[in-house]
Amino acid sequence: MRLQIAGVALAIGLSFSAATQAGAVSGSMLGNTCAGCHGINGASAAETMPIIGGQGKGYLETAMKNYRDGSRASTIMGRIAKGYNDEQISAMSAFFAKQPWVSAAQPTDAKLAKQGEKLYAKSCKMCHANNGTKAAEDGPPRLAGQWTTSLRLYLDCVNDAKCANKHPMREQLFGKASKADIDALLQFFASKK
Amino acid sequence: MTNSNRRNFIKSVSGVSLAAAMGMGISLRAGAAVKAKIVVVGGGYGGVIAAKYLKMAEPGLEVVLIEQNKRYVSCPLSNEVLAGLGNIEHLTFGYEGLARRGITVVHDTVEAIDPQARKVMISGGKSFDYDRVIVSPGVDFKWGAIKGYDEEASQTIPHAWKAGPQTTLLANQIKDMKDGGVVIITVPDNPFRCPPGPYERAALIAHYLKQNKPRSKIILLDAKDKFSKQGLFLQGWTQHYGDIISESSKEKYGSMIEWVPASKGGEIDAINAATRTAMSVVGKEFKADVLNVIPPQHAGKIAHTTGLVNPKGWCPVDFKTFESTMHKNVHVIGDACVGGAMPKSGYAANSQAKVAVAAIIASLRGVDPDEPAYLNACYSLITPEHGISVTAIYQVKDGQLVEVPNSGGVSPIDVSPAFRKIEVAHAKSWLKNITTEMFG
Ligand SMILES: Cc1cc2nc3c(=O)[nH]c(=O)nc-3n(C[C@H](O)[C@H](O)[C@H](O)COP(=O)(O)OP(=O)(O)OC[C@H]3O[C@@H](n4cnc5c(N)ncnc54)[C@H](O)[C@@H]3O)c2cc1C
Ligand code: HEC
Ligand code: HEC
Repeated sequence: MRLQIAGVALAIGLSFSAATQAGAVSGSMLGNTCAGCHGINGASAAETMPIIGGQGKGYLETAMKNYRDGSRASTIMGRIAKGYNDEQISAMSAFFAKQPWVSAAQPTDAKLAKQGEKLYAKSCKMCHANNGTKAAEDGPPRLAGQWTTSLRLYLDCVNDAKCANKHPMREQLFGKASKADIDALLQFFASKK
Repeated sequence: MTNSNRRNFIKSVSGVSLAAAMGMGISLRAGAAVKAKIVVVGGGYGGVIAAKYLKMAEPGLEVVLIEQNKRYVSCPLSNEVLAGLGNIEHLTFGYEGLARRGITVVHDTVEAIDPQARKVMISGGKSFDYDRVIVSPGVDFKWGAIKGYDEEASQTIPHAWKAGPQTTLLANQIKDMKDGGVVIITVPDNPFRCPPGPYERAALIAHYLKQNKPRSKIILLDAKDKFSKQGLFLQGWTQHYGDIISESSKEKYGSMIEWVPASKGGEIDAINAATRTAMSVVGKEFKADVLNVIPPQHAGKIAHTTGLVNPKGWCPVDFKTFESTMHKNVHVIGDACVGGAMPKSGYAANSQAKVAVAAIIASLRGVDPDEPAYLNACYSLITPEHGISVTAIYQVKDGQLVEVPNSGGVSPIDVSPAFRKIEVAHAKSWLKNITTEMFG
């Protein structure tokens, strides 16, 4: 084979992508299979598919495990998550967690966003910090710059008594929130990139 | 260590093409940048992803993509066009994005591949040397397998199983058909491109006819006795097209879609293009106003001329690398390969491309390839508000490509109309993301 090798082979174990034991699949290998729906490195370009690149590892891992055991509602992720063991879920979550977050290219309504800011400060800020831009390592997900259509699908479900989604503020907040409030909150998150 | 610290740490210890290798998902066990020449034959769902991921993993690689057409027309969602719901323009993509990434895009037909000399020949005697070639030519039709159906006949009796002018031809014939006409779709035996496709097609044509020509009928003549997502299709057909009633006269026309399985004489072996008649193997004749023949298929022609096919006309491969078992340094992905449990779908071709790329990169770097991962997902529409899906995750077991047990499957049968509607939205998002992944 006519190939030239530049640089030196590194003997360090790069645990984030290299498979660590026989039969184990690397996070990048696993994560690349998701790209047809979630975009390259999880940077979804389509409004119903959530951006997952740059989200916190713990959140991603919890989401996958909740999908797998049915404690998070889904149309298709429940079926997909059943295909992976804990180790694989950990590997793919680590892979997506280290990708840069790429905010959705979507229009925002500045006036609504302003109204949403107040609601955010009152009810969401304590968990979804930094205007919703924080992707906690093992806590609430980043909301700023996420596709509003995708967030709305999650929240519509939270509002439905039969829904499996376990948002910590399900009863306190979303049971009472009006559609106008949700619209305003989503515009606020869309305006923060 | 925080994410960004970890990133800096890694960068500082290695210092070689890490930015590229990290984000792009080809695992980096040895930090060596490699140089080699890879030719990709066919710029569809498989080939485009292969070319792009090769270049993303190793910007120093010379990647040549050879595709005969200037523009690619996506088969996925082309059934919508038949129902007047979509525009073929929105399914048409150019290769400029790939060229911008430093991939050499050549628009020409590959006439031959010489695995010994490691050369790919295009028309006019020009050739390209390669270290590895990835072949993703899709399917070709077994012209003549159905008597009376050849390439010429397809000019009036469309297959519409490669999207483009054929899709438009079939759409126009349906538009021009009289109310009360019969549309016949003939379906081949497995394996063939897009197993749920014919049944989605029947549903979406029915959607159009129900609004515009409610007396019309659709007959599926099938060479099989069961089919993909069958329970969900039968449910959807019955729900939306099972009981057609004229809006003006309230006359009842009954069920619009009739499926004739092989055991009921649905398998056909001849057609008469002039009279638009399909003849079944048991001697029954079916007269159509619009006849859509989905012919039996095999791997694209170049796979045959290169000697990559088995007696059934598909390319056997090592599932961990998609390297041909017939010729070294030739990888076959997508519809053309023997895909084990994976169906012949765009998503499968995409997934296989990444496995092949990872194996090639690992081999160029002189390291063991990662354990591969594979996924497939296919959405189908029954109406513009009723979508269904199937998905699966695969693994190699004893050399076979099989589904991971107790995973994947089809959409639940007992869900609300709202759920079905959300799946339509996801189907459209899927197309947007997978084509952005390819051409963006
Ligand atoms: C109606 C319909 C609906 C479908 N819906 C879905 C869906 O919803 N989801 C899904 O995942 N899949 C779907 N599919 C299946 C999907 O289209 C195929 O599985 C996919 O295109 C396979 O990719 P490929 O790379 O193997 O082949 P292709 O995408 O067909 O690409 C092959 C390319 O190679 C080129 N080529 C061939 N030979 C040569 C040569 N000698 N020289 C140069 N170029 C050459 C061709 O021009 C073509 O562009 C559908 C198919 C149909 C027909
Ligand atoms: C067929 C398309 C498809 C594929 C393939 C897919 N996803 Fe998803 N994903 C979705 C959809 C749709 C949702 C929204 C929930 C639902 O309806 O299933 C989602 C939601 C998610 C979420 C929740 C994100 C959030 O913040 O709301 C995570 C995490 C996720 N997917 C991870 C993955 C991973 C990891 C893979 C690959 C192993 C993957 N997905 C493959 C379609 C897909
Ligand atoms: C007590 C902490 C807390 C508060 C307060 C809170 N959230 Fe959350 N939020 C979470 C956690 C934890 C999750 C992850 C839940 C899960 O895994 O299903 C989450 C998830 C979400 C999601 C799903 C994101 C996705 O990508 O799928 C949305 C949307 C959301 N929150 C909106 C809000 C809004 C709007 C508010 C304020 C009105 C709010 N949250 C207040 C903790 C909180």
